[in-house]
Amino acid sequence: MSNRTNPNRGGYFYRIRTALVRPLTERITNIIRCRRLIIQTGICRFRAKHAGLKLGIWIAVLNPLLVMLAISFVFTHIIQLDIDNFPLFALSGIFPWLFFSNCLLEAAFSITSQQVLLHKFKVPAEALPLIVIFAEFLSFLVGCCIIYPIFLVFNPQIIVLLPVLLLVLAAFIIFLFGLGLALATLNVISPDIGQSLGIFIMFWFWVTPVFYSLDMIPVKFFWLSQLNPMTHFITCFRSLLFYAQLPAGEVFLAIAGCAAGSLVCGAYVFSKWETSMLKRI
Amino acid sequence: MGNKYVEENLNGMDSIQANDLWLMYKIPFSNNGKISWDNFWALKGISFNVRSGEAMGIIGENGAGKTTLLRALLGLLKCDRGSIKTTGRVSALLEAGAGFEPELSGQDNIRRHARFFGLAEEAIEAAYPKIAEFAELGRFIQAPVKCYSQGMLVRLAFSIAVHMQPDILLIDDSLTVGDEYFQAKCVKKIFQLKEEGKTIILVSHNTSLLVRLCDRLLLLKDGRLLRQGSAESVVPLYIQLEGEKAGTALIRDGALELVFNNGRVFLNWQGRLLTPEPGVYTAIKFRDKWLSGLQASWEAVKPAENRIIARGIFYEAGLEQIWTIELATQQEVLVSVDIKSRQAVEIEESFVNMLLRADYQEWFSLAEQGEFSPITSNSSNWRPYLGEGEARRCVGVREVRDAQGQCLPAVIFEQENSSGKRTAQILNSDYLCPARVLQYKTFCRSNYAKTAATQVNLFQGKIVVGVPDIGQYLDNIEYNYILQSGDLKLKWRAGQVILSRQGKVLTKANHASTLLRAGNQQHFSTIAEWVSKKQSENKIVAAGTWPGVPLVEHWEMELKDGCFFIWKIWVEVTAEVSIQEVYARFSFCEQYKSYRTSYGAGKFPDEFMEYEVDMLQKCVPDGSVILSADTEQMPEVCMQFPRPPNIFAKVLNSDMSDRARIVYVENIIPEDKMRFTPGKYECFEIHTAIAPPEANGPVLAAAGNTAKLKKDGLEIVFEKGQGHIFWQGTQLTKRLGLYTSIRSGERWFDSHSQAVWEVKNSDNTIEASGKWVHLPLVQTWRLAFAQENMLEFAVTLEAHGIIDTDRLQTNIMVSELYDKWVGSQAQGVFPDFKGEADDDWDVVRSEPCGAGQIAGVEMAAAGQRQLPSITFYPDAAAQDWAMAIVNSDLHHRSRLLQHVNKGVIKFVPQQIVKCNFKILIGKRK
Repeated sequence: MSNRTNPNRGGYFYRIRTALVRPLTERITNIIRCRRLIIQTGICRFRAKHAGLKLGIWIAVLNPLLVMLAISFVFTHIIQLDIDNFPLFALSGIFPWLFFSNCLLEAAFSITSQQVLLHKFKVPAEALPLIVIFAEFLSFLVGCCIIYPIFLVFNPQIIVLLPVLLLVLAAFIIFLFGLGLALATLNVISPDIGQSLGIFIMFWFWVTPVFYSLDMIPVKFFWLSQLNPMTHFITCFRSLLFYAQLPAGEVFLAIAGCAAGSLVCGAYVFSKWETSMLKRI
Repeated sequence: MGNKYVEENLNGMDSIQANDLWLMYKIPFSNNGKISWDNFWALKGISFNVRSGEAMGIIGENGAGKTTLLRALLGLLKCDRGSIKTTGRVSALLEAGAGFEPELSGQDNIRRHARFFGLAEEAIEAAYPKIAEFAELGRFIQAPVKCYSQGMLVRLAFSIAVHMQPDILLIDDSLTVGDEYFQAKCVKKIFQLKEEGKTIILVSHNTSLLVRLCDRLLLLKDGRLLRQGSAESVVPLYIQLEGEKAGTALIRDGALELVFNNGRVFLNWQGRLLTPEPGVYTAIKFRDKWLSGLQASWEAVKPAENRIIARGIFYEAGLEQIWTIELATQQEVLVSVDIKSRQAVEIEESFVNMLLRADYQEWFSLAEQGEFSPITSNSSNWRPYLGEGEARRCVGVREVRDAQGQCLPAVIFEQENSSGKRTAQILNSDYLCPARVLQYKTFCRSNYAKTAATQVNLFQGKIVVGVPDIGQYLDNIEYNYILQSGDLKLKWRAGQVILSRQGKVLTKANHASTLLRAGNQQHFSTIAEWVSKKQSENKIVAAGTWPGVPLVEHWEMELKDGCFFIWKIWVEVTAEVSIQEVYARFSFCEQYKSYRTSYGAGKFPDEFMEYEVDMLQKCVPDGSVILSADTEQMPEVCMQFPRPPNIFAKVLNSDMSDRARIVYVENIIPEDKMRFTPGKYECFEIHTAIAPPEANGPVLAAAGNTAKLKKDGLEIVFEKGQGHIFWQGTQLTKRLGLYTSIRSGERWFDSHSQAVWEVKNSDNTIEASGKWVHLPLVQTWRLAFAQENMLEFAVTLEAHGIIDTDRLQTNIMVSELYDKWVGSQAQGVFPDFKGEADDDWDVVRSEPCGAGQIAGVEMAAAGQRQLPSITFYPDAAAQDWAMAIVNSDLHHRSRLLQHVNKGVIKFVPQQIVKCNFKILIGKRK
């Protein structure tokens, strides 16, 4: 019994546990304790976002459809791509991508724009990106209500793949949270990140096979596209919505890895900069 | 009982424990476009506890770290060092009005905020109606928050915060927003929460609210916790620190805390302010304008933890004032104030004032003490308690307990030996800012004002707080030397001798000091620069000089046999100078009630007038002056002085401010001898016997001053330059009686007051010789009976120096019962007395003086006892002389028979003026 308090006995793992695991679990339980706050505030935010708009909730549907129309026009009538049913093909990529880019932009500014909350309330700072991601997710879900039936009409088999789709969506949200947390933290430390994020997302859009298929990428750049996490997510969504196929096993592995890596990366950045971030705001 | 126990237990718990909090911000300071990230410590080692149910206020100027501290308490900021432990739910009202979602309605925002506060959904629903009601927003509760006014937002925010049922409520200074009604409502709510036992931490600048609400206050300055304690003790310090930040600094050591704030210095002792606004401050008179130190723009730096150096610039005057303040010990503050200028400065007058709380009741200076009178609206303002014209080194107030029973320590305001440039004063201020004032004032003095220096010292000294034994402290600082012989103690300090016996101080005010009139200026010994030395166990020698005066005053003080004080004074002249007078002045305590001299005795009145009153109305030319008190403790003192020419003594009652019995010993130098060439000149040697072994003291030289002649019913009494005639036991003469007067240089010299007399008395003649102290004249009187009712009166005046006289008189002053006058050619009735006292006397009749011509008075009034007529006539005719009949003023109310000359007589040595008279009492037989 007396040896339990001896730190040497635990050695390396003991130290890991005290320095990393324990604060981490504390934080996670803290967030879980705040879940209601996050959900409710997320709903509030979702409502607030659409409350001032005439179009209201329809904007969540119109946005992806409009982008789809524009891209379909360009790539079927100006630059002719040899893809069957191109508008639907494009929509299957654009719909998750818009969710991704909206989340990232919102999350990156989630702390800077809502720093007042951190002045007033005893809220964990990591809850703020989570709230905006949740609010975006709600918009995404509303969009789904219209867009998913479209895919269903064209390809009724995809209904079988719905559970897989939800799993991928969960991994996608974890990936977004990790990335969003890191960006939100860094944006306080260095506001340049937020300012250049728009351009960066646009660049990311072009290098990701959203409106073109993966096999169109030249072989010598193929390995590069495999390093892009969004390639895997988009491929996955596309096969589940458009092709009605179960993606290959390594794709699942890749998105799981991306989600985990993003979360670790986000947690690391956040824990490293949290103190100074709070002093900056 | 049980309830009480629970409550006590709850109250005893600490809601918040903050331990040594340090918090640093990194701030990007841009310097010429280059950004450097510098550390800024917003909190520096703050520790405090807040008990459960306690209301604590945090006060401090902007940027002191209040908000940071609140955020740290809330857990929003992590401190770099130190720990915070909070027990219970914390709710905060910070940045009221911010953080609402503008698009959502008030209702939704209430819910949203409540969630952020961590309330459960059911609790939110329960609290919602109360919040909505308290906020009084009406229909607006359903409108988007973006349509709200700022006041409505604050109302909403406050309503939410106070209804969150927190255990600890943190409130930032937000109560100042909103209308007065809602402010009052908020304050009421906070009081209600406090009564419910919530712990409240309130940040505010509203000191009156803090005093009312908070049990305890924290005062922050520059991230440090300056003081924590009761509101009454913290708020004064906060107020002291208010002002331009660059000009404030604070130093402390032990119980003593000193705040410099833009030209004012505040002293605190154990958290209690001793010096109310404006504390210790200076003022200088420069080019006919008073400049207060408060007018300057100040910059104070702390080169060390116990030192403040403050520079204040008077821009319009081009002057710079420099204060150097140092906490030397836990009781002692060294203060030095200088004035600096680029050109030569001519400071006409200056003072340093120290205001002390009106709770102080007793004051003291070096050897005086007294009580302050209460300050009322009709008391005369700034009434001084000490006499003027004196340099005191030290003034102070004694320890006292204030209204709350707290001890206010004794405060001593002491100056460095300042070579007599400054005088201390103790005053009562006016009732608008009731305070006791200790003051050092520098008077306009030609030699001081014309200093060509570019730096002038206004004050140099120290403030000592909390001295336990003031008597001992004063003895140590005050006296250069102390002599003791038996019970008798002599304390010497620059220009003053203080005598005490068996611990009782006999002298007061100026004590024993001197005044020298040279070059038509008065030089007090107390403001001279002294060099002194204890020559032997009971002898002190000292030499005093005044700037710009070419002479040195030497003192030799000696105590002998436990009862004698021998005081020798001589002057050393270094360049030719004119000296008019030398005084030695003893001021004795008012307990001395009576005096005896060889020229009269009497009692001192109990009342003091606004001016000094000459008790004897005459000079005591020789012998001794004895003062005695009615109490046993004050011993009889006897001053004896030898009598070289021109030395005499005076006994006076002082004015109201000194309240002392004064004995002057004067050495008046004749006009022809006023020029002194370099050399040594003795002034006096005064022997003072204090309670000598022979209880009665030295016997007065009674003989040689009075004489009597008697024949039948007539009697002549001569006493000190006056003659009185008695007829059958009734005094015919009145007041001054038979006397002579000499006028020289616009001044009257009377035989009864300004001359020293020696009398030879034989069976039928009185021969008296009187020597005028101020004039080189000796007068001889010869009185004898010629017939049974006729007196022969011969007056001979002989000069032993050169002097001009413009009037010589021989007078008989008789009772006003005589109402008829008889001249040689006419006679008449006396008119009524005209004029007030001291007016010119009314000459009723004047006739040229012929041999045997008479001037007489008769009495006609019936009902009175018939008095014999008095006739006065000269033996020989003289051209320049006249006989006059005079009515005196109302003060004397008497008739005068006068023999007077009206021409200038230029006396040369050995010149003699001789007059013979006859005085006839009754009808010629």
